[in-house]
Amino acid sequence: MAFEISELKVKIETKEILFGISLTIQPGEVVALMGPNGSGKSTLAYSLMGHPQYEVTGGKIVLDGVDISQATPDERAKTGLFLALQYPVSIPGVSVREALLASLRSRGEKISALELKKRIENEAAELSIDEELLKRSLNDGFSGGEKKKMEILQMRILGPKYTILDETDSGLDIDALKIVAEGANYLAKEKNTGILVITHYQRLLSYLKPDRVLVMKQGKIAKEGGMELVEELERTGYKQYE
Amino acid sequence: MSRFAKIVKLDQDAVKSLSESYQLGHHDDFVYAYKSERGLSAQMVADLSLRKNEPDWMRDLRIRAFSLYEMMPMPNFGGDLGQINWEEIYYYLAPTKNESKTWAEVPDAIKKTFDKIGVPEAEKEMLAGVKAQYDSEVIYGSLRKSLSKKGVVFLGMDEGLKQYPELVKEYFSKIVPLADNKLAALNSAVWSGGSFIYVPKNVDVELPLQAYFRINSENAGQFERTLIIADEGSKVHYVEGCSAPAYSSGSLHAAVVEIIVKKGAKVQYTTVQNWYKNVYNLVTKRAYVEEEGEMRWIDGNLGSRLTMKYPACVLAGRKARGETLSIAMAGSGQHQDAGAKMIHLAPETTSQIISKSISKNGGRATYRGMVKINKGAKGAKSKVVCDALILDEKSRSDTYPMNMIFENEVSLEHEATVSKVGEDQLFYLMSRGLPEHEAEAMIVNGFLEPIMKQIPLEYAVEMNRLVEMEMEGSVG
Amino acid sequence: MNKTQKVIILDEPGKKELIVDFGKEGEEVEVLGLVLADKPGDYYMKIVVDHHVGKTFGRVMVRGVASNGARIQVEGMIKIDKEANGVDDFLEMRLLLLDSKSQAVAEPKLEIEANEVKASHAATVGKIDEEELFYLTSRGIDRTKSEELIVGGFLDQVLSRMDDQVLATKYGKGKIE
Repeated sequence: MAFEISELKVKIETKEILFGISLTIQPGEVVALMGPNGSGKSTLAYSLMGHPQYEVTGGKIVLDGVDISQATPDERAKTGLFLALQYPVSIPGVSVREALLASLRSRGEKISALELKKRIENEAAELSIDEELLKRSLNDGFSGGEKKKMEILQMRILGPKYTILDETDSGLDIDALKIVAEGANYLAKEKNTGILVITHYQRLLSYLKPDRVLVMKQGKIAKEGGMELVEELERTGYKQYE
Repeated sequence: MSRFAKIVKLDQDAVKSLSESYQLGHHDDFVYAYKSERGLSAQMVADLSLRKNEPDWMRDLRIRAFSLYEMMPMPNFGGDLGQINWEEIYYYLAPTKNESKTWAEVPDAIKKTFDKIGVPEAEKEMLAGVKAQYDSEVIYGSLRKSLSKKGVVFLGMDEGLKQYPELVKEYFSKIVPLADNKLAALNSAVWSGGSFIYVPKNVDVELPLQAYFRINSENAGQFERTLIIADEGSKVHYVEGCSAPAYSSGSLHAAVVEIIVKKGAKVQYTTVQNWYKNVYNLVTKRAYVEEEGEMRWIDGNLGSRLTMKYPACVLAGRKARGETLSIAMAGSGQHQDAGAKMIHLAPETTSQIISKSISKNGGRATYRGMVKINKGAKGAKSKVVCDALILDEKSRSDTYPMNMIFENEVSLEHEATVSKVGEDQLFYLMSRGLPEHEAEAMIVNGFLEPIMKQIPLEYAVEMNRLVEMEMEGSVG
Repeated sequence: MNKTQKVIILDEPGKKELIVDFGKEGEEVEVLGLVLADKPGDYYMKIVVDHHVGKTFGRVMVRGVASNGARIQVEGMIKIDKEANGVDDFLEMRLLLLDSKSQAVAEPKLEIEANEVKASHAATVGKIDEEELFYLTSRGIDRTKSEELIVGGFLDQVLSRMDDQVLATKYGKGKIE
């Protein structure tokens, strides 16, 4: 049982971005993926989730024994994968409640609208999300921080087996950061969720301590280590990885 | 009626006449070598062609065009054409003398270009001193030498037809067909003058080519015909007109511009039109853009009594791109009916139309546009922004866009805003010491800035000055 | 303030027109238009908002969805007369084409003769946004259901504003509570 990515090669239109990424995430493990801008971090996140603009030209993605390399995004979600977007889009006229109801129902969970409403309100309170936002169109007019917290709210209700946090920390203040970290920690420790944290900065990782740290360079994984790697990057920056 | 109390009261009459008079203007006396009788006939069209010694096919084309012109109805949209007395218009059918100007009157933008071409000092002096007159022939000669080294052809249209008949025949009236509209048919029948440009494959013509230089034996005519052929991978920028006001003794200007942008070529066509306020400026401009080609129209309409002009791009090849950036300023007694047309025939084509118009002193600015995305043009994208400033309660602004989408895998966005100059903005600038009209001019320039920054600096500076001068005339 | 709402719905091939005349200062009118075109045929909607006097306020919001070979044409005109200073009006029309057989023509027009006004319009025509689709499918919702949600949300922008919610629920889900 693991989330296994082997030799993944990805291109957008004619440009090759990933040149054979291999990494495995165990249940309950927190793996941090760092790297300079343009190293391919977000490309990895999007291609793992099956975004149509990213073309996989080689390699395999297997989640708990199920090969999802060719699956559509919703099929991947149903096998237990979640992607918290760096720039969540707004969906006019669709509230978070509707979206979550549809997500849960599509995988066969028989939950009533009322029950879900309560669960969402509880999560919102825990994450310090203003109740007003729950009624509005998803992400419409939300601040950066509110959007990120809303992603975490959805993640907690959907309870995935493996989750990818794509630069969820960017643009957040310290309080929001702690909340995001708590949310992720909870899932890892209590629900055994495997977590891939993609981040540019070390800040989030002081609250969400990774078990392993990987650094990307120009579409490949260049180095692997532990927390000491993060400290090294804090000191020397990304120059050697550009 | 100003929003702010004036400290000094200006003489209202004087002010009014200032804004109405054409300060920059001067009238040259035109010498007419030949003047036709009133009106027009098929015989006269044939005579014109004979006098010019044109190939038979061109003569036949003119005659066909003339009969189409007679049959076709006037456009049923746009401005008021009812005042044009078609019988009374003199059609200039023969060459006239060169337009001569004094060195001082040559716009700065042009002078700078002399430096760039490398006109020898002696010639400059001759231009400035001895004759006290400037003959564009000399400049034109120097320019041609440097261009012909690259294989670039830049001639008057008449010359172009003589020297490159096959090339002209291949494209003439193919991009704007004879029966396209009545004014185009008229032009096809009696055209004279205009530019012919051919740029060979992969050649980048770094210097903007200017109509100003090309004024040679043909007069800056009413029925100019321009044909630009940009071969694969080439780049060229053509500038028509100049900010110096153009006095035309003829009150009808019906030009046609055809451009073919071949695969991967990039063409920019900049027009600054400042015809005197009696002129009807009815122009058909169209570019045919092949795969990965890019066409950009920059259209500045400041003068004329009525302008009807909608620079168009036919995006015929995959990933072809078309842009029209249009500025229109309509003052007292003026109607600018301008806009653009973008026709998407192929997949992944993109277009952008930005139109900024200003109406003041009872002027009327109209945006008229069309975006058509045909079936099969998958992945096409189009964006239209048309903003209008109405400076006073006498003026008017209209927007008539037509967006026709016959393919679903596309995206079209259109926005338009009409407003006046904000009181808060005015107050802010005036509180920093600017008099009201200067503040207003500054705000107007800010309004036009998104387009201005796309125009080569010298022209942008000229245009800004022109706008300021137009603004000075209006006192709130 | 004199606030009214006018609703115009076209759900069968044919023509429908609505002309709103602003004759009294202080009038506020909200116009909501819906074109639900799911049969082959021509659907034509025309809305004209004419401000004859000043200090009037208008908002026009149109949403149209075409599928199954439908052809929609929406013409929206804001007119502001010479004496009508202090007018504030905004017209928005958004049209969705759900399949390759559908077509749309959008004509948002303005005729403005007064200058102390605020008038603008926006129009979009296109298909369902790929990013919105990816977002929902990545949350496990299959493609068809995701499209339904997006189209529903799209129309809901108009439906949720309708005073007559009974009418609104006939066409969609009405107000999000």
